[in-house]
Amino acid sequence: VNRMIKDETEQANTVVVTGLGMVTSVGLGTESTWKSIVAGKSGIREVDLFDVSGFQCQLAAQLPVDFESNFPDQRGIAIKRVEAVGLAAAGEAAADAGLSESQSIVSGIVFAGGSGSILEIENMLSSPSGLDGLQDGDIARVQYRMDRITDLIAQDLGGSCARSTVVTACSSGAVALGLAYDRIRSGFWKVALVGASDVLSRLCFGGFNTLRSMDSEPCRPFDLNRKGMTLGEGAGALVLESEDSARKRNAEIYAVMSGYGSTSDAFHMTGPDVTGTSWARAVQAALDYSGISGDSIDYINAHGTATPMNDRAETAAFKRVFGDNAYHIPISSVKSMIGHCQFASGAIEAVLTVLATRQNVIPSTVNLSTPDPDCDLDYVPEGTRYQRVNHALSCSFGFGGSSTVLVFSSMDSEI
Amino acid sequence: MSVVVTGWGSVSPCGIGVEALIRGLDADKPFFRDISHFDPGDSLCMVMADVRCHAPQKTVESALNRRLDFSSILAVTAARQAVAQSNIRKTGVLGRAGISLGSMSSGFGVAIDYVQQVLDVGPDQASPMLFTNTVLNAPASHVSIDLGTHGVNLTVSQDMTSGIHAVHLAAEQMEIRDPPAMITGGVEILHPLHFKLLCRNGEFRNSYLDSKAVHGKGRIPSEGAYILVLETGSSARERGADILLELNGWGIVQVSPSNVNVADSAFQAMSRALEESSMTPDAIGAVLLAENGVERMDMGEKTAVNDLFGDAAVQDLIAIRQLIGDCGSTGVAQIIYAGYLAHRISKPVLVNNFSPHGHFFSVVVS
Repeated sequence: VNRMIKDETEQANTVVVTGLGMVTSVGLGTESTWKSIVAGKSGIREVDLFDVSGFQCQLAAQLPVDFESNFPDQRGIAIKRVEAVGLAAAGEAAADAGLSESQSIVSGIVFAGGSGSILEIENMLSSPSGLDGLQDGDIARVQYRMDRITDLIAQDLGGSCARSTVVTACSSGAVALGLAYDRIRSGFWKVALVGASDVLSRLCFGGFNTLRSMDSEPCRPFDLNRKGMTLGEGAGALVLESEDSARKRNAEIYAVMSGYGSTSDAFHMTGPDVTGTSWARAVQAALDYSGISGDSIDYINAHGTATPMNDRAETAAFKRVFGDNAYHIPISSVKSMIGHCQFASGAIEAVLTVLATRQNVIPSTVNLSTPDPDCDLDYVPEGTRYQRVNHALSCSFGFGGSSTVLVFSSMDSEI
Repeated sequence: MSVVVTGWGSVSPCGIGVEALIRGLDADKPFFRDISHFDPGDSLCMVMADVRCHAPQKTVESALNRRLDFSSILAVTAARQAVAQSNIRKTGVLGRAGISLGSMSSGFGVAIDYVQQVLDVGPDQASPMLFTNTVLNAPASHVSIDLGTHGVNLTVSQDMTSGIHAVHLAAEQMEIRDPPAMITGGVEILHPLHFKLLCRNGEFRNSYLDSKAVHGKGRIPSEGAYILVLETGSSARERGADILLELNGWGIVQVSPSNVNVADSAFQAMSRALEESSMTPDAIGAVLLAENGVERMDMGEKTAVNDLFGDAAVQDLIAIRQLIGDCGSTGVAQIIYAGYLAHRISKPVLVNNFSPHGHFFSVVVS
């Protein structure tokens, strides 16, 4: 039931992170991914998921081509690639939070299922027999239901919990976290499983190629010679929980989610407002809502797509919000290692930002060798940095202008 | 907190505008037409409740018409109507308003057309204009750009309850994050491939058995955009806005799709909506049923309504999906019609919107 009886206390709940899950091109789990990120390892390689010979860019941060066929699943139904990746991350997060032993405590799921069945539909359309050749058992695989992944995760958690499927393009994972945060903070929910997954498809590969926003080399966020993004695939999942609930069941707490800001650019379907005004609005909203001052931010996980305009707009946004202090905040783009995982990027990067606060580790921006005078902030180009991270932001700016910034704080930080 | 609707807009199989929708539903005749905008081939279903016969693309400027996909055109058209009616632009708060739209398949058709181009002529020849509208959140984004809203920008997808789920989220945002207004609703269009996949799944009515009859077996596919402007009751009253309806209380039950007990879930959803509205069944003047021709769902709902209302005199049980078909946005059309009915009969109206995948939404409207 979505609307639980709200806690009688008017005081807002503190929202904490008690479970993490992640599947990326540099690791098929949270631990392996984090180790790779800290080591500055890149998962970008030549795509072999489908034929890319006609594309200008032929690289992506791709998962193993047979990921879904090796995915251990007992359902006996056709699972799409995007679902297999999402289920793997969600399962890891649930187990990490100890939910597999007490499944009934999950109040709700908010998930984003990325490209749905586009990859499977493309495979069908590119086969000589097309739709006619489709066996009845395969219909579910190509059925375009973005919300099926949320249903499948719910089934894994025992079935009857509230669920929402969010679709706001590249900010989907971050928006999902925001919605779950609201419900826990307000007392409607106690525990939520939140995340997003996405996979490569000819649609996105071709689309971004057509828009000339992909680099034929591995992407170089904030570099003077950057030519565009490198796409990626993967999933991220987090268990959010009220602190009371986590304490009661002695769950390990990774970090506090201190708030978020979510705004609409109302500017352009694909292009950013290069003055940074629109994205600054989202960053400021996140700070305002969390009650954390700009001076207290120790790390920013940037959207950092490596397109010439995006990186400039994002830099301008940080300067608008933080003023001169923007020069003193370490900012990095993990997309330089795991690519732009599209709908999943907000969730994956939220997991990495939580780990940054937990481990006091700031991931680097790899491939940044020639500084851009228009992007003159501290992008951590030299390698992983080890320093105290009390409060960190994770930024996600989606196609269509849905901009969301999350705020995570270490457990022993003070606001 | 009281959440009210101060503006509404629609592009429905009945025509363009809420007046056409209400007039059409009042006439109690189905708006099912032979599918004409694509060839249904050897599908058993040959009819749908389409909006294309009303040429909604003619309602927007030619520049927008070139840039927007069809579902975004419907959403922008309905949103403009809703905002104009609410008069909210004059208050200066529209810029801080948020958006929450629901859709099952917006962007799907454009995505398929784009992929087909990539496969047929190669990526270099495929149109970048098509690609920008392949995301499901294209309608919400275009509405936001068109209206200049800078609040939250949400799109949710949840099968046949996508639109009503978006309205619930918008109402929740009003309560939790306090935006001055939310533009919310649902939009859906039908692409031939989506239609054929659903037909292969046996989801639609067999036209050879039931043709265009009301209360036939199986769903009739539909299209349409339905948009509401939500405000808090206090701010709407303060600015002297016309309040079209109030959302009194929600009942939402979500169960595992593999184990759906329709009667039980429907009963719980309706009971909770009444409970949250602080109403008893005898306060309700009409029920807008979820009924859509899917026998298992319809029978379960009927059982739940009988169990909940018993001998209480619910005079009207109305199934608008038997008139304008069924799609992910139809639940919002129900809310609009419920607002009109509640005013006409001076009693609250209960709206049901259920999905076979385990989503049960009920809301009391007065």
